[in-house]
Amino acid sequence: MESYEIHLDEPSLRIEDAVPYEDEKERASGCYIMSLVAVMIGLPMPIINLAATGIFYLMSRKGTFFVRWNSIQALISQVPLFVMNNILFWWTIRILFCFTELSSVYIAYFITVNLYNIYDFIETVRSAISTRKGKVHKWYLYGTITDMVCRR
Amino acid sequence: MVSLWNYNRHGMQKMNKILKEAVISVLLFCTVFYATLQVDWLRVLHLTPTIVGDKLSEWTWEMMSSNIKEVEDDEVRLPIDTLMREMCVANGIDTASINIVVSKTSEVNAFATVGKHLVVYTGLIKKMDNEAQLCAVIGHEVAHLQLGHIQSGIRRQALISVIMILVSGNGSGQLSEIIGDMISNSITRTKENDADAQSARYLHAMHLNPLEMANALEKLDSYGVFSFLSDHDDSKKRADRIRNMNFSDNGPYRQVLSPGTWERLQRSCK
Ligand SMILES: [Zn+2]
Repeated sequence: MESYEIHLDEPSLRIEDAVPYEDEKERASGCYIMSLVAVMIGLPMPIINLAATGIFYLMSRKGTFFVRWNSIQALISQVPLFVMNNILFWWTIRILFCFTELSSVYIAYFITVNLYNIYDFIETVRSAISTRKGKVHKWYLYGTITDMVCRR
Repeated sequence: MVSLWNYNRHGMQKMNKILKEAVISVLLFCTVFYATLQVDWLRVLHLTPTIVGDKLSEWTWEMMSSNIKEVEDDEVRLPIDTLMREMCVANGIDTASINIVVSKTSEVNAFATVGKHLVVYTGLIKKMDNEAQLCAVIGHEVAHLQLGHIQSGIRRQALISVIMILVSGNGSGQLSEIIGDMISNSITRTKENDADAQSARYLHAMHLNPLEMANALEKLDSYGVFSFLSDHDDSKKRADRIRNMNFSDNGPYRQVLSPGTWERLQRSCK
């Protein structure tokens, strides 16, 4: 327990240098597993993305630096996903209920959002695996934002 | 002081990095979206913009048509088709946009439904005094189709269909009647009046007496043909509204069907 505290208070600790304990690895990896589920269900039901964001926020409030950092990255990754999936969801509803017509623009958006979801899926899998190994997988942009937001 | 400045500069660098990466991410997203926009997906996938509505119409019509006993008799079909064609030609309506079906039903009724379908019951044909009155009723339903009144009902119907599927697992059976009522109820009083006036104009363009619209309204007063919200007072007012319309004099009224054809039509509907 003693070394745990010292470990955390190291002043210039970057996430890359963090050496997590076994349970930390498990919890951080669990974050991404949850995120993975959210990515898969979130496309038809974007409310899941929002729920996941809420859970990650709660997780990020307590726990060690390693766990907090990863839960914040998972949280940030869900935000654009939620916005995009939500737009797609309501657009689809409008088409299904004949408030608007099907268009090539809709299909183009559908494809783009799906590609983004796939990218998110791959990155989440990579994160889940590397956190399990005790390493950190920094996403483009989201990792940088997390670095800024998440302090020791 | 120096360390604070250092800290700020460090923060600024981080901020710049985030901004740079954010801009690149957004640009990448836009590029992908722009690239996918270059394809005419509807044509590539053989889809039409109205595919959802069309499918719904088709589906509803299939459910509804199970209650319809279509009359195949040429004594009935030919004169009805003739009247329909005359109305379309005189008013510049695409004949293919309307599918008129006569059903062997004693009930006095006629209605337009989703898609391009228009159903007339033999009970109604039997009840009419002359071809102009029959055209007035048909014209009223055509007007509902032409003025887009039915199309707006389809939304409500899409919603109901989805709920039906979610609740019961299928959307068939007696539900079609409920759906039919729902569509009819979504047609408001204003829309009824618009359809009345439009029908009178159709008659005028066909060189038929537009005032027969008013007569038809009064005649069918007790049957609730023109409106599910009909009350007696309402029919009188609607008839008066037609009588107060101004129509230019366009020569003597004509007879579309020969008296013999009209008589045979009526007899076949007995
Ligand atoms: Zn009506």
